[in-house]
Amino acid sequence: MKKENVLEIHNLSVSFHRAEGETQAVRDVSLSLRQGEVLALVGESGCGKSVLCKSLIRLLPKGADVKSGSIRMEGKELSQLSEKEMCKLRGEGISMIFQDPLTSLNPTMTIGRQIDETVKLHHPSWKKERRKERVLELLKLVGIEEAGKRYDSYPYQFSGGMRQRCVMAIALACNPKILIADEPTTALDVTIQAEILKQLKEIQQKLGTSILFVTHDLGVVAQIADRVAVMYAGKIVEYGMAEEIFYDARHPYTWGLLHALPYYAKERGGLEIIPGFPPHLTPPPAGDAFAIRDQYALRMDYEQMPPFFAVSETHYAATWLLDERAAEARKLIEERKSRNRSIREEGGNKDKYEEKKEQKEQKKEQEDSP
Amino acid sequence: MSKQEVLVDVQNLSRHFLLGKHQIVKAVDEVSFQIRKNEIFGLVGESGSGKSTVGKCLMNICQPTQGTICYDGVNLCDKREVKAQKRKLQQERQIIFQDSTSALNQRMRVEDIVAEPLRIQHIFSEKSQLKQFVKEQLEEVGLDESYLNRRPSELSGGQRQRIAIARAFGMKPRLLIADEPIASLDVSIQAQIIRLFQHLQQEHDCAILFIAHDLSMVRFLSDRVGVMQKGRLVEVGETEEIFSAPKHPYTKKLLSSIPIPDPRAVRKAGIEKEVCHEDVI
Amino acid sequence: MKMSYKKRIVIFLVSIFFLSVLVFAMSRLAPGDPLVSYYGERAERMSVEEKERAMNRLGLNEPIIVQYGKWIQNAAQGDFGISFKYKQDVLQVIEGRLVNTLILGGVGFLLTFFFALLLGIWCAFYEDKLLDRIICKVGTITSCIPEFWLSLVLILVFSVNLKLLPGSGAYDIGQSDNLASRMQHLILPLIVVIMSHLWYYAYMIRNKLLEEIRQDYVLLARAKGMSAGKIMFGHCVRNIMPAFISIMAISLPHIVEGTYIVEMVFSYPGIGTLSFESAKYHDYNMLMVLCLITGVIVIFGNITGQAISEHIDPRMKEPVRMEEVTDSDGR
Repeated sequence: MKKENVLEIHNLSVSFHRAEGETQAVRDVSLSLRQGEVLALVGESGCGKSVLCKSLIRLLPKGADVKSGSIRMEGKELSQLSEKEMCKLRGEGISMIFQDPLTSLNPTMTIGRQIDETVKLHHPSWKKERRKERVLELLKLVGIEEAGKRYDSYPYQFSGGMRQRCVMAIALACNPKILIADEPTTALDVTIQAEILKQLKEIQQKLGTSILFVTHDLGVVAQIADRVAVMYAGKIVEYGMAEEIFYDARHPYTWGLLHALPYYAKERGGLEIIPGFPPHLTPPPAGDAFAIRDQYALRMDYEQMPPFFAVSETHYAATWLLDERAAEARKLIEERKSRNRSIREEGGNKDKYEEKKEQKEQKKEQEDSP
Repeated sequence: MSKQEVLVDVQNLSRHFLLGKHQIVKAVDEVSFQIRKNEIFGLVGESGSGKSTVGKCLMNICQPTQGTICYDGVNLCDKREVKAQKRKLQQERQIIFQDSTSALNQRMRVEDIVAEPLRIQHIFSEKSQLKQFVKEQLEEVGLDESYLNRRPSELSGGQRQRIAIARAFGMKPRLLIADEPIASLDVSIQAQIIRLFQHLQQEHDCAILFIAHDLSMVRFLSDRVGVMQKGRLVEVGETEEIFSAPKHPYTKKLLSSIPIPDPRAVRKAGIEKEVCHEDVI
Repeated sequence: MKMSYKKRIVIFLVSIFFLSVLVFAMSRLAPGDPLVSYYGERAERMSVEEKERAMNRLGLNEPIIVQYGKWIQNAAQGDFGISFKYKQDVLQVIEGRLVNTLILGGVGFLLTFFFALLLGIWCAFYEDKLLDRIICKVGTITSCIPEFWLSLVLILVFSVNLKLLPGSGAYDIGQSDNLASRMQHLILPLIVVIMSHLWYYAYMIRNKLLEEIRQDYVLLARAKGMSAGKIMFGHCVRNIMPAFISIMAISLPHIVEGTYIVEMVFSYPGIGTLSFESAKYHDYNMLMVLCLITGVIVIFGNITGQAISEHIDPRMKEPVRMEEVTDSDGR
């Protein structure tokens, strides 16, 4: 049962033009978002995921522009829309939530007015009472209690989690088909993050909105995503269904991201890390950009950009490890898979407290008797 | 374990703020704990729980309303004593902040940032020695010589936090207060920094007060953990104890909020939660 | 922090009191002979005894504290003494001139800020476009032109050569009530006043707006489908209003003192020329009143500015609530 694509990105490249030269922030990205799904875009900061999102609603910062490629929403090419049509599309077709709820609301305007503004913008014929009704309905939708009382509150009277809910209300004001959520929970506390994620998922199921969820945290991805795309140095390196990415990752970078999570660490001190730093993209390195940080890199990785290899019908990864010629790699992948499975079966990294204690006591005894 | 020497002894620490004329905010309320020598103590709580205020009180950036803090025999609440021991205290206590962008002077070169505290304390008499030492410090945090002449704005968040760490450890501190050093970093970079802390702590033998809002990373680093909620310390204990058998409901809530990177488990848990959701809250 | 109006008035009065003490003491301690301004050349021919008697009569021989006590006693009854130079009641001398200055300064002030706001918004909206760059360059140059030079050039071009506009005075002789005549005389001085202050404020507003445009909420407003123009006026300009009004209030004294040089060059009978004279000729009573007027305007400007911006910006009305209080997520 394949769902329709609401958003299709083909070979999109976005560059920044700076004095030092051209920075290729997004390189040849193709991606599609299906009707009613949550697609997570995962990557470290600086990998171009935010730039990619902003290019979708044509709000790129100064100095950046789309070099090539196309973005189609329900068959309509976005780059051909006039600025006025684009304004209408933003909010009604595509909406966006940003990372920092503290700064994304106008501090001098009441919450009610800021939401009302959006409703008014897209429904200019609506009367005041009708709009207010809609605003209160939205506040209830995003889980703000006593919406009537909160209507006249200012953002500074709200906590971070409440503000992010208000931002969600603004974004959802006109029932957009697509919601782009750019790290919406990164700046929040863990308990609040859990609540917001739950709320977002509920809303998504209720309204059938397609969500492009951007984050750096695979833990968050597992809570909400149907499909996952992993991005590194401006390129998508692996994409597939959430389960395929979590249980059968093929790209070494995805492995790295997974094992940097405390959950997948075998023991205290066993936290695996990706060494080094992401490369500069002015100009981008030849071959696989991850090769220099990759302990499994093949010689091929330094020379030639790997194409996408199909793992399954829905799962693709761009690494030479999947090439037929890299026979040893297959063993490696199997190893990884079984290791992760064993950790999951134990319910994640749960220190065996008693065991540890014993070990410690033994150690102490040894120390005490020199 | 209890025989180990205590480095910092915090007793009944309170810090209140006045809001208007009548409202008092108890940012820190009757908090008592100890940090032992060479131990990493994790202080966990959400924003507004007062954990940063505790850190600031330990650094004398903030004066406590009540209670005592005893650092290595010096009463930090007594201004005269602090003044008499100023040099020792300044050198032995170091702090790292969450926001590396604003904690480092954007116009200074990395070399000067790391060297500045050393210069102030007159630790090296010769310039070449100082430079050599700065280089070594940078190497220790995983940055090579090429970073000496860069400025913080050219670096990524993780790299900037490494600079802040190099600066703090350059002073050979006995107590390092790390105020949410990983909170604004990517998960993969967080792991790098945690590893770096582990490594440096073993090399330098210093106690670390590691403040964080998230329990997940703390477990890899700290020997003991304290959990704060609304200014109160609700639970203190050995790390393994807290993680395997949390006693306070708030600790339980914090633990269960850590997102599990396992979609199938999430789905299962989601269904279970629906059932017992009412009982938890 | 919100202050009650009572408290504000008390602060206002106390500051005025200290200002008067300061000006009184400083003017009397400054070297120079006040008799010269009173008697003119005659003072030089006076004998020591005559001088002594004159000083006694003017009350200048007593200790400063006593002098001040007497001054304030009279001032409380509305008597600010006579001007040594004009030998008239101080208030009478000032009255006519104050109106002239208020017209020039006041109109100049309002127009300066009106144009500054327009220019600031314009430049911020077209940031880094050709027009913005040209305006920035031209603006910087104009703000560097000295007032007296510009005044002289304008007089030379428009009144001497072209004979279009009058180059001196506030009105044609005997026509102080003729509005048209006053307007004609105002044009050149106004141009100078506006030109010399305009860019300073316009640039400030432009930068404030640019700061505001880079805020995240503008991005959100764009993402919800607002056009750039609507955001500019509906959000950004609105948000810089408190700052704008504070700036306006703080520069309120420009009404009086910003026109000093212009008044001198255009021989415009205003307060500027008067203060200059009174300081020069040790006209103590005049100096006191003029300083107090300026002081009142400065302090009044600051206090009203703060009050207004508090009224506009809701965050300033209540003491800023700390995260500690608000951070319970409402659930």
